[in-house]
Amino acid sequence: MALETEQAQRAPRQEGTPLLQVKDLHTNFQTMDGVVKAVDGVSFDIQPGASVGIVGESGSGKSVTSLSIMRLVERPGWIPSGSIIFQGKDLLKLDDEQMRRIRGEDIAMVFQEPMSALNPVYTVGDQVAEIVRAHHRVGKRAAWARAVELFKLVGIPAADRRVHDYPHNLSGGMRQRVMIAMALANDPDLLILDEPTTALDVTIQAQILDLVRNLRERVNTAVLLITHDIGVVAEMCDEIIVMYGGKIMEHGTTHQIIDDPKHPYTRGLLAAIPAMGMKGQRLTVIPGTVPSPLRMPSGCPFRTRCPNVMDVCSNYPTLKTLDDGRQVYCWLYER
Amino acid sequence: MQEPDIEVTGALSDQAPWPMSAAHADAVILDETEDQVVAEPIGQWTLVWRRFIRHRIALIGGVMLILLILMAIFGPLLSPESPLSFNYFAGNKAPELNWRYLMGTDAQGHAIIMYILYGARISLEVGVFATVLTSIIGVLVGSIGGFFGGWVDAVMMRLTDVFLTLPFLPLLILLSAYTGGGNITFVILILGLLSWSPTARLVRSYFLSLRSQEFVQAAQALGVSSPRIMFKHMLPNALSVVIVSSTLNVAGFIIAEAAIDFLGVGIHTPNVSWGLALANSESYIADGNWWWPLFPGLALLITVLSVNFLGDGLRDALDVRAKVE
Amino acid sequence: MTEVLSEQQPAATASDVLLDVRNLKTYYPVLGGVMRRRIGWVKAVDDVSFSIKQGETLGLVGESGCGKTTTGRSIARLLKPQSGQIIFEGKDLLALKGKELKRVRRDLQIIFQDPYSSLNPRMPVGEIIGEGLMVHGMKDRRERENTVKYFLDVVGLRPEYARRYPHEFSGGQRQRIGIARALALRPKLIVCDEPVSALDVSIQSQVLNLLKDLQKEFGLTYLFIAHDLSVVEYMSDRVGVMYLGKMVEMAEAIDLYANPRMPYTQALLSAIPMANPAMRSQRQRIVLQGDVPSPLNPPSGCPFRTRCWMAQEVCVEVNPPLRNVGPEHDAACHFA
Repeated sequence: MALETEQAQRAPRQEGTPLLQVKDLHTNFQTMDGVVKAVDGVSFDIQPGASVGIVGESGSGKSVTSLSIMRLVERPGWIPSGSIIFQGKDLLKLDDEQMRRIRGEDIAMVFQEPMSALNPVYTVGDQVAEIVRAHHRVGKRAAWARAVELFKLVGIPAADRRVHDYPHNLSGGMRQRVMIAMALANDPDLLILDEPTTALDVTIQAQILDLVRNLRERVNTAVLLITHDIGVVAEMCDEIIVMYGGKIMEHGTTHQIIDDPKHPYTRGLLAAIPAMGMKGQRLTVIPGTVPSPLRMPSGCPFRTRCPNVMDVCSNYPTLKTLDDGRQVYCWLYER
Repeated sequence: MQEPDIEVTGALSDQAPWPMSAAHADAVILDETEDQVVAEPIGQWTLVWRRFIRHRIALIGGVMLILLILMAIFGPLLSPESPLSFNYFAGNKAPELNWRYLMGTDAQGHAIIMYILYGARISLEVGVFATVLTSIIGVLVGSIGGFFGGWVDAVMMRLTDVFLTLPFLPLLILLSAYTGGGNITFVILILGLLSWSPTARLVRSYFLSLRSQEFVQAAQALGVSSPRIMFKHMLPNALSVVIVSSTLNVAGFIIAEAAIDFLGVGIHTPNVSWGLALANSESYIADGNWWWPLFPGLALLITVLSVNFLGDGLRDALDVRAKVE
Repeated sequence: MTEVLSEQQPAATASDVLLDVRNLKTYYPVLGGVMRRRIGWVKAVDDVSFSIKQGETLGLVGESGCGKTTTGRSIARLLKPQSGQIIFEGKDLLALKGKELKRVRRDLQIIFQDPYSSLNPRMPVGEIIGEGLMVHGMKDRRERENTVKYFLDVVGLRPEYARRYPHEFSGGQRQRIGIARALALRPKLIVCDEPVSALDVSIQSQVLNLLKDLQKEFGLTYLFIAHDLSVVEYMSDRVGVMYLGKMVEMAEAIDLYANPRMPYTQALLSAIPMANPAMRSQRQRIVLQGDVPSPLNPPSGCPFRTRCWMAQEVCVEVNPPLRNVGPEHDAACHFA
């Protein structure tokens, strides 16, 4: 346990008080066949205004991590241990009302499926105005004015007319813009984007990513981006956390992770993506599949597929902070 | 429909011995990790059974139902009298701790327990056979409509609509008067023939959604014939909903049978049923003999609840996609 | 016939063309009103022509609603096109019926996107793979079982898996089962409809390698449909780009990616999120404005003109045909 406190203090390359400190977070789910440890001892910090991406495949625990931060894990899931310190408060110790106030006001979240996150029977303007009024004592008119302003901020053309549209009148990209407008309604300090472009086409994805980039220059919001697409994090974030099997594998700057991955899993992941000009070459393969969450191997979850596996890997590696400040959980870097 | 055997076998075996090149060797070696797949393949029904027995309420419902079925089979042996037996016992007798008088007697001195034991057979027979009838008609009409679509579907669905709009009770009373009614076959036929519409609609909507599933398209691309796609690919996948809705139908029919007995257009004496016992008790309730309607009513309630519980459990157990591992 | 063909595709001679699609139109009726009458058509595939040579992989890319999947399903004869010709080994598939169609299906198989819905959950894997064999006349059970085991081995699964049900497998394994099903009939052409887009990155590369190996081993021809441009580039010899039901550019893969001529292709390529920062700085990013227009009500003239930064008067009035703009390179743009 002493380890986690130590690693929290040694966040990569940044000084000052972090906006968010996740410490040794565990999130479990009760299934008919046993307990699934979806998030298994995850620790990281987010500095104010930073952009951090969590990348991982399905079952890596990346989405559950973000839901845990929002305290949106519902039964049969629960958080047995860990702490999530946001602006000095442990979110896991707040009561429901205090947490409700933080959600949407200090931390906001955008989900993958904008259609299911929007209520089909209200206009999008209504829904944005409602969020504004839920956190501020303003009149209806002022809330609507704010909604139009937000729509303009997220680049919705003819914003003053679009606010009267129902969700089904809008395209997928426009709906995702509405979701971002809603998330920004109360100037949150942390914006969590959970696979925000996965349901969108590539040209629309480019629009949304552009929008988020521009917004970060204008509003000083820290961003936590959850995605399976390493290209998307690489373009969007300054820092990357690579997750696998509920655990962090590697955490460093985008430059470090992309150009010089240290963890065998990160290396395999990057090599498995067909890149331009790889024609005729065989793709590098990570053998096997992600183990069933009910039968995660002991120790390092990646060891059953790892090309560098050693005997010691049946124990979970302690955190190694390399000279360049990045954090790796791998026995290869034991000194 | 079928092509000459020799041709295809030839086409396939002229490649033999099949090339086992090294090209795919890595795929073999790098096959998903061993622990990914369960040690012993579990059959579909084993899986269903495992899930079912974890569903406690459904299990209770199932056990109750088995007891009820045993009662229907062996009831006449246990009964202190037969409905036909001439009796000279006291009427309107309250229950007491004695097999014959356990549930009291009716105005004529017949033991209420006799109605319960003999009536179980009628109730279950009507429930089960009427359901089998509705399921067969409903599945046929629904699957043909849902699979072929277009005008076939339109015809099938209009037919379904017609049966859905038939005024059930007046028709029943009319037919009952016309045929004389009174026997169990008549009740089963009436209930079965008039109630298949919801099943047909359910099956149709399932088939419509299954049609767009890729495994159905894959079968088409393989050249599988339409009847085979319907019955081998789609029906087994729709079967779980049919089974679940059928269990609920059983409960519905048991109640409907009691209701039409109650109205005097169902089973007649000398047959006995729970509904009939209830109906006969009606004019005597004012006398305060509560046991007469109570026990047949309880029997109905327990049966219907058991069937519903069972249906609930089956709904969960038959969902293949929910994984047990 | 062959003369017309060689005019359109100068490089393709009749002999090595396996599949020739000519003026394919597949429309979906739009129903409306109380009586569910047809009130219009969605032109999912609108006058598309291309050919695939024996042994090559033709990639089809485009965003959702561009008609690439409809094209694939029309070729696999899972949909009934409105008009056009799909000439496979000299026979027009659209004119075939009954027995003849069934025979052709053996040569023309399809692999689906969704590894979950593409396998019948109520059938053991052995039956899923063996059904095609049985339907096409391999009646002997033992022979069928051996063939199934052989093909399980070919796609990298253990032969004992034949008795298991689909739910016991992971997404990647299921996709291998789907490939084995298609392969078991020893087809000549396989339509791969987004075969890896539902898979995780680490599994995706396994399946892509497998598909390449099988192509070599069994001499297969692929129509490879995907929305992921890097995957298509990796897999394909030639690539066609579709937009709103039309083929807007077609060229050899290397040429298309190095030198896209149609503005839409340029935008599409520039929008791929790239991990490699060096490659990212090289490219010129084009972020398109607006959304793909509704296929119910497509724009006049060039379908792309509403989002195109080069659009002129002529683009509103005239729909540019696909024309030759370089060696083996066709593009549908007035300015290409």
